[in-house]
Amino acid sequence: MIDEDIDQLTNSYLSFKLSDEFFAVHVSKVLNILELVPITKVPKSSDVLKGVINLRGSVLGVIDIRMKFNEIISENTKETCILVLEVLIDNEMVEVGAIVDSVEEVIEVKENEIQPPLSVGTKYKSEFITGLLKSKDKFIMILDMDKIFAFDHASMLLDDMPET
Amino acid sequence: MKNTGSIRTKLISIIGLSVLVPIIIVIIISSLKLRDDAIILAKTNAKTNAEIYSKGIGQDLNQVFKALNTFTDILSSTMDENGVSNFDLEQIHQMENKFLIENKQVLTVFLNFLPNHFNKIDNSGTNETLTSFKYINKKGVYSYLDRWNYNFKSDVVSYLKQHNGQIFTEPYKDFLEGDSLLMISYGKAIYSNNEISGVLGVDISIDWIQNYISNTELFNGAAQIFIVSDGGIINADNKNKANVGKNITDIINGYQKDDLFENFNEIEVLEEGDFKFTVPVNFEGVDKAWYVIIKVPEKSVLKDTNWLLGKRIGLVSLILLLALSIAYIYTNKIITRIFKLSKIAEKVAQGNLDVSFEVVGNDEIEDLSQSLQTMVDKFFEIIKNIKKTTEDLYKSGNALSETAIKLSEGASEQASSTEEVSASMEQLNANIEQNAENSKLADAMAQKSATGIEISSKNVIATTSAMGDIAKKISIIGDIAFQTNILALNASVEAARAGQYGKGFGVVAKEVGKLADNSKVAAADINDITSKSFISAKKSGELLDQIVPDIKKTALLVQEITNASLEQRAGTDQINNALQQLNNVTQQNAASAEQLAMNVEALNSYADELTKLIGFFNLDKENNEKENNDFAQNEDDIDNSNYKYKEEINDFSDFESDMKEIEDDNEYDEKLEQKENKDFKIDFESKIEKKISKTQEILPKEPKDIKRGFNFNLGNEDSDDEFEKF
Repeated sequence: MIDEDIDQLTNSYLSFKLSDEFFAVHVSKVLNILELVPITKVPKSSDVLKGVINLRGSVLGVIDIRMKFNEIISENTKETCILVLEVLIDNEMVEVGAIVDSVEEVIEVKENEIQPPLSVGTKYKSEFITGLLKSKDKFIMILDMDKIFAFDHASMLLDDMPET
Repeated sequence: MKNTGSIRTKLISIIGLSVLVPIIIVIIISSLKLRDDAIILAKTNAKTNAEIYSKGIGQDLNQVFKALNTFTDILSSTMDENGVSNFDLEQIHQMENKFLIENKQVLTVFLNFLPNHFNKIDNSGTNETLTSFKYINKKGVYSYLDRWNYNFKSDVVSYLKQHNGQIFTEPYKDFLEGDSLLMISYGKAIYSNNEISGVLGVDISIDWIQNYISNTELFNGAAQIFIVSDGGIINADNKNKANVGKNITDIINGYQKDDLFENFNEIEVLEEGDFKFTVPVNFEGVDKAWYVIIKVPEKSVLKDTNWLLGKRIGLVSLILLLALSIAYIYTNKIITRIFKLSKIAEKVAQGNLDVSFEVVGNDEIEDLSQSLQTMVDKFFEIIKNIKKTTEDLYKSGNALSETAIKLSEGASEQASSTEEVSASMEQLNANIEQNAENSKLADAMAQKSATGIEISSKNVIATTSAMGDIAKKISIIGDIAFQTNILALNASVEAARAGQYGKGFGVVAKEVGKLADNSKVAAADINDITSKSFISAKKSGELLDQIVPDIKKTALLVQEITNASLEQRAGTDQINNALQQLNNVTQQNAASAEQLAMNVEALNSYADELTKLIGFFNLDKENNEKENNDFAQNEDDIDNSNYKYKEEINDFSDFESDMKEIEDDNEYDEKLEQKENKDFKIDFESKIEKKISKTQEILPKEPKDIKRGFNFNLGNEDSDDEFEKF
């Protein structure tokens, strides 16, 4: 029963949209979904770090993961949201905000439906992508947020992060 | 060939006359002149001869008379007042001998004295009777001879006194020494103291005068020569010698004494045309005269002249004959060629144009032949062309007749068309009036529409703003849906994180999310529809805004259409008038077509006639060559003159009869043709008449009064011109 729960838990993904591509992140990593609120810019910070917002009294750093993929940054729309993610950086769980173009849905996926990522031929670094699943005629890339934020950008993010 | 040889006759007559007349005139003039000249010459000749005779006779006798006068003067000077001479008889005899010797013509010298005169030797006589001394002749001294008594038997002294102491006897014949001699005696008185005392005389032989004349033969002896004195004929030419010595009364040839001696005109023309010359022989110191008379008969004078004249006439006749024969030869040459030309020309007259005028010679006839050749060649060309043209004309005439029929048909069609057009025009007129009414209605409607649309426009604007409001409201719904969705997602995430326990919540969250999504979709749809409606409404508003001025414009246009309709109506009226005029013209066209048809018929008949006329000319080469050959034969025969002419004339009569036969044939053909023409004519006319009557049925009656437009109802003469112009 517990295993099933875990399975169930582990098998739910939140899908979102970056530009025209669909991505998904495991719900365990998602704390909250926020509407886009005004982001306070942090001086002398990198481009990836968009700024900070106030999340229920605490400061949350917001990064533009679109930049992470050197994507063309879309204009902000009504659907633009900030995902509040719980990311493991340097064995430390850190909350961080990520701007996505839109949030789609929560999908339940069985283990066998996830296909391994393609090693070659993709424009994204395969180390960020843990798997590929197909839902309603569209391919969704499952992102490993820990790995994404494990990079120096993330550390830099942490460095740049003002002390709470 | 009726006039064969008449040119020759004329030419020869002209040449003969032209030679003969001047020659005859010249002969007449010259013969007259010759005659005159001959007469003048004869007169001169006669006169000269008469003068020569007169002079010759005068000279010889005057010498003797002069010597005797001198002698008597000498004797007179020796006489004293008693009549006694100083000379003795012997001395006188010597003087007398000397005298005889010196003067050859003197036969005797004698001296007579009154008694008791001259030495008083003889006193036997009376005072009145002269005593004669011996007289002396050439043979010696003869005894006394009382010559004076012998001769005068009268008173010598008184005779001497009466005749200035002169005795001049008439010629007489005397016997001297046994010879009969013709002589005259001349005596001169010897005076003493102005009284006649004696007379010295001589006998002079005049036989020498006879010789003097008879040696000359004047005018071949035709002239008569006389030397006459008061008493008779002293001398004459040989023929009249027998009359010498005769008294003048015995004279021959009817010459009367008076005629001969009393009219001593120098020249006298006698009755028969003869003439006579009288020249006196003058003696010095003698009061008597002889006359030399020459009588010349005209015949003899003109004998030579006549001979000359005859010779001339002969010569002239010869020349005339020569001239005439030359004229004959040359005219024959000319006439032969003219005849040839005439033959060829006759061929041409018979319609054969392919002939050749080959006449040789460097004269006008050759020029004529060349000119004729040129003329006939030209005719040939022209008639060929005419023939061709006539055919064309005939074709054209037929085509024209068809055209005339078509024209007539066209006129009738035109008439019906005109009628149709007229009906159409009336319809059109009605339509136009309807249009005018309609356009008025349309105008009112347009006005109404304009106001309606203005209101609509305002409503649309209101609608648009309402749409905007709806959109705003809808976007709020959209926002709500979005937020709801996010809430649902958060819920889902939370549910997912909650695991087994959050499963139900997750389902609810999911349903909420679905609702939110549906709301979003609906909101989006509404938004979409609203925005579309908004755009449509906006567009409608804009369109309405645009339409309003358009409709106003339309109203204006409709008004213009109304005006235009009125104008159109006026226009259609004019068109109606024009149509009526067109009707008139069509009628005239129909009449003209009829006229044209008649003319074409005439044209066709003319063309027929022309073809027949031109058909007279033969342009066929082969035929002509054959004829030309025949002609060449003829040509050779022409010189054989009359016989040939006759033969040819016979030929011609044959030919004429042939021609007549051909003409009869032609007549038959003509009749046939005429019949055909007539048939055609009737057919054609009936066709035309049908067409025309049809046309006239269709054509409306000619309008009697045309008020507007051009007036075609002019006078008859003008209408034709006008029609032609038209």
